[in-house]
Amino acid sequence: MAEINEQPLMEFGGLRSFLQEAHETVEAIRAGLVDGFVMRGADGDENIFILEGANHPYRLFVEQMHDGAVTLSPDGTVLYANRRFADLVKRPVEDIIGASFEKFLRDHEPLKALTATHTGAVDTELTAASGATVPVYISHSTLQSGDKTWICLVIMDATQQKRQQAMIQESERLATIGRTAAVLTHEIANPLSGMLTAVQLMQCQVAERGDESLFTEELSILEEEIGRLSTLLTNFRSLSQPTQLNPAPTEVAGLIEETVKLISAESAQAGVEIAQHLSGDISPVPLDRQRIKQVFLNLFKNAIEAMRDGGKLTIAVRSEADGVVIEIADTGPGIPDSLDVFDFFTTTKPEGTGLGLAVVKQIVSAHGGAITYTSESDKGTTFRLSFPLVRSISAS
Amino acid sequence: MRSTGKDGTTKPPNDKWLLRLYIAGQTPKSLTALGNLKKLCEEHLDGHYQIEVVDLVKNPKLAQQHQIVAIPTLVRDLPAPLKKIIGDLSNTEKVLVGLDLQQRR
Repeated sequence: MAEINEQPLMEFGGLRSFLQEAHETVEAIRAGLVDGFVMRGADGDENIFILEGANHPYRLFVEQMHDGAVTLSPDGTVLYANRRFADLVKRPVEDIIGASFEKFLRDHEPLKALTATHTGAVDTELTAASGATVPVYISHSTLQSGDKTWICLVIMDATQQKRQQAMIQESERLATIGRTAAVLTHEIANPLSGMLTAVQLMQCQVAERGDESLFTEELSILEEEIGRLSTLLTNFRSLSQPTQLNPAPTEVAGLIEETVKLISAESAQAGVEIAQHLSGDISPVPLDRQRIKQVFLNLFKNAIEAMRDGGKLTIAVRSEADGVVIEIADTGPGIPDSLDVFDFFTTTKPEGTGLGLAVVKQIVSAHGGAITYTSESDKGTTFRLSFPLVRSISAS
Repeated sequence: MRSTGKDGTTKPPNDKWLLRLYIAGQTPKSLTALGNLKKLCEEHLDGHYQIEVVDLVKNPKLAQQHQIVAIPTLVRDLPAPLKKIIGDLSNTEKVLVGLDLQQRR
């Protein structure tokens, strides 16, 4: 019986298995089932190579992300920047790559922090090509791959957040002023009321004595001034407190007609003609009737007072897709461009308190509405109010 | 020894399988292979398996142990004999045959 030598058989089996694996590897590559390879370098160490297309989804992700992404060399040279970063600094990507990151920072100190620590975040500002500064938060981390080191930055535009922070600070400041004003107006209103009663008493006594020359004019001035101060206090109180509304479906045209009746004598005296264009098919709008009446009254009175030598007050109401629009136009001298009449203590009238339109804006805003105006010198001013049909009412 | 069903697939094994999937970070083929492997194990190994994912980007030297050349590669460490399947495991029948979970048709 012949002796079987097992050694060649084993070698043959090993070779077959090796060839089979090599064949399957080639087949897998041909079929596109792999996207990475292990290569052995001259030093005998394994290196991983990934096919370029394999990283494509991640490249797209970084390229299109909402935040800026930048890779730096340890000395701060930009190796990569995505489109968002280019947008932030308003420069083409080709101008950014290869430049020192310092070039894009308003203050060079943060770069030291970025390159000195392994990970962290800095709150700083970028300088755009236009010279404008962009507030940003930069978070950074150091990446090590083999003998190479990169500093990866994610840059978030903080413009909106900074603006909101400033608004919060401003509203906190205004709230403090408001609380102080509320206390002050209360403290002033009481003695003012006493002064008015005293003046009216003195006027009665003067009338009883029948001596018209005795301080009549002075008393009249006192009464007027106290009245003006009272109006100022009422407006101030209104501005310093949250606007509490009691909204109910309201026919705007009806409310306008009602308000116009209140100013008809005043307008006739000033020689102001009132024209109303009130469309009949306007859906009721959820409004606080008394508050909006105050808005219309303020605007109508302002318009009449702006037309001391006569003119025309035109009131138009119309429906729009999502609400009702009211336009109140006068033919007065117009409002100078330099004024924002909604600002506190801004007025074009010698006797104005400068708070009436601030109150108007507060009430309209609390209804979820908007008020704007256009004005032309010597031709007149048109205020445009809009109220949504459905809206959330806020206390402001 | 596993018994073979009418459809050519074998019944789930009683002994625990150890499967090593060599990947390179989160490349599409690596992620596809991992997804395919999990699905396949759930369907054919009935909980008798353990998957070890070896990320060669994190530690390239680990490629030496099983002489990995292309990524992804699946290695069946247990039960013996050792088996290797190269690619993203999208050809289920080929993978099942390669792992001895189905007879070659």
